[in-house]
Amino acid sequence: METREASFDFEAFFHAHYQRIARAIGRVVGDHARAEEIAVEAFWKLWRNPRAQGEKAGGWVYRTAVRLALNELRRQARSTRYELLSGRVVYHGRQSPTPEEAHAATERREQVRRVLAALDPRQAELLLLRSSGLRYGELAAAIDVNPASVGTLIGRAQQAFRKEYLKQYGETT
Amino acid sequence: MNVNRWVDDCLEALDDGSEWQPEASLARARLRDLDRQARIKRRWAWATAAAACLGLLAFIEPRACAMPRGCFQSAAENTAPRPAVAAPVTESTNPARAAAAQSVKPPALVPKTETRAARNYKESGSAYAPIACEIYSDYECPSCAAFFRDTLPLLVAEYVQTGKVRLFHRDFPLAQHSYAKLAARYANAAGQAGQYDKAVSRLFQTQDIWGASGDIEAQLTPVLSPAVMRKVRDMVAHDQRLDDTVAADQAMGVSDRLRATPTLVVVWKGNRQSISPIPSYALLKSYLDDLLARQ
Repeated sequence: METREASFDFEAFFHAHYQRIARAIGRVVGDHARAEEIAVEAFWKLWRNPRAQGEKAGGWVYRTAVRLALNELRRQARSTRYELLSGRVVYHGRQSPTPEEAHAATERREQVRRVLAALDPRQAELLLLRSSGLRYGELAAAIDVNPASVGTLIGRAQQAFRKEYLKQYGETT
Repeated sequence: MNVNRWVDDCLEALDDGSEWQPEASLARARLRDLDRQARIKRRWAWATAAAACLGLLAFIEPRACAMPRGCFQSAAENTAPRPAVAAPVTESTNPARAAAAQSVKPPALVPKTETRAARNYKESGSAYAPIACEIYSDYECPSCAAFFRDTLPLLVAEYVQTGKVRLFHRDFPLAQHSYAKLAARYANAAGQAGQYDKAVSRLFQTQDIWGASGDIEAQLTPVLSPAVMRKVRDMVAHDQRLDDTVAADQAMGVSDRLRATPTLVVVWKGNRQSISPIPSYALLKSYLDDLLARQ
């Protein structure tokens, strides 16, 4: 696969970002194999979109990856609801026999994922991109907003997250 | 409660603490595989679309042509004896054969200082071009005039001058056109004198005029210098070998099963594809691009 634009080295970009993006997706979907598939899909979209290849490619591919991961999360949530209603298997993710603490942590992760799946997609994207370690400037480029408004948007997204969490699980400590 | 901190804690809980290392090399291989599959799909889609369009256009009348489907060989001509063809349609009909056919052209009859005789004046473009296009035309055919006016300049600019296509002109005067063969003699004589393109262009531009009167010379005189015109006049009057050039082109046309003018024969990797009527430039371009992409 040759590089399309002399100014954009796809090969170097891929090796610089792939693992970080795959891990960010893995945090959302909770399935490593699926996370790698989604990461490849995100890079494939970048490869097929020459206009996205350039200085802002980093933000673009992170946003695409998180969006794909959230889509997967919502798909899983729909599937869980269906299975609950039909009395079939309920649990998603890894559920090997673990100590009580590990089980609690797993439960907590699943709760957070369900809240993210129910959140407004842009707000969920913003929170996940931020928790992936992107700086304000990178965040602004990724979601295409004014850097000065990133702080406000994150504040709103956090409030929305807490509201949704309380709605689903009640008051927490 | 500090919401900012609380949300951060929630999102940190997404880390499962494992030492998972995504496999970049496997992912890269998967991307290459996707790319290869996409290329194959795209190639097939283009080839199918081009073939379908060319097939459809065989039944569609081009608007620009006065004679919509070009000029067909008359029944009498179809039943007339064919010029002898030395070989079937094989590699001998590729540009190398064309070059050999050109070698029978008569030498220039005027001093070199007066005019510059061109070897292979009917050819243009790089000898290393991956595709050869041979255009069979009749100087009295209105569709040929439209092709030379509308399509050929674009083809030359985009493919011939860039070394992608080598272009060959072929004479195929039809029996029902009274002056087509004489016009071909004039054009070839002008070619011997180094003025082929100018003469061809003028002949097509003024085909209505000389087609009615038969006075071809009067139309060429304004565009050729007196010295060249004198030489052309002399050759047309006395040089019987000009007919050999036309006969060689006609023999090739017969071996290509030519039925109408203009016809474009695209030679690619030893295969000859006759296209008539010639489609719009956009479609022709997509066809040539597809061939080039398959190199």
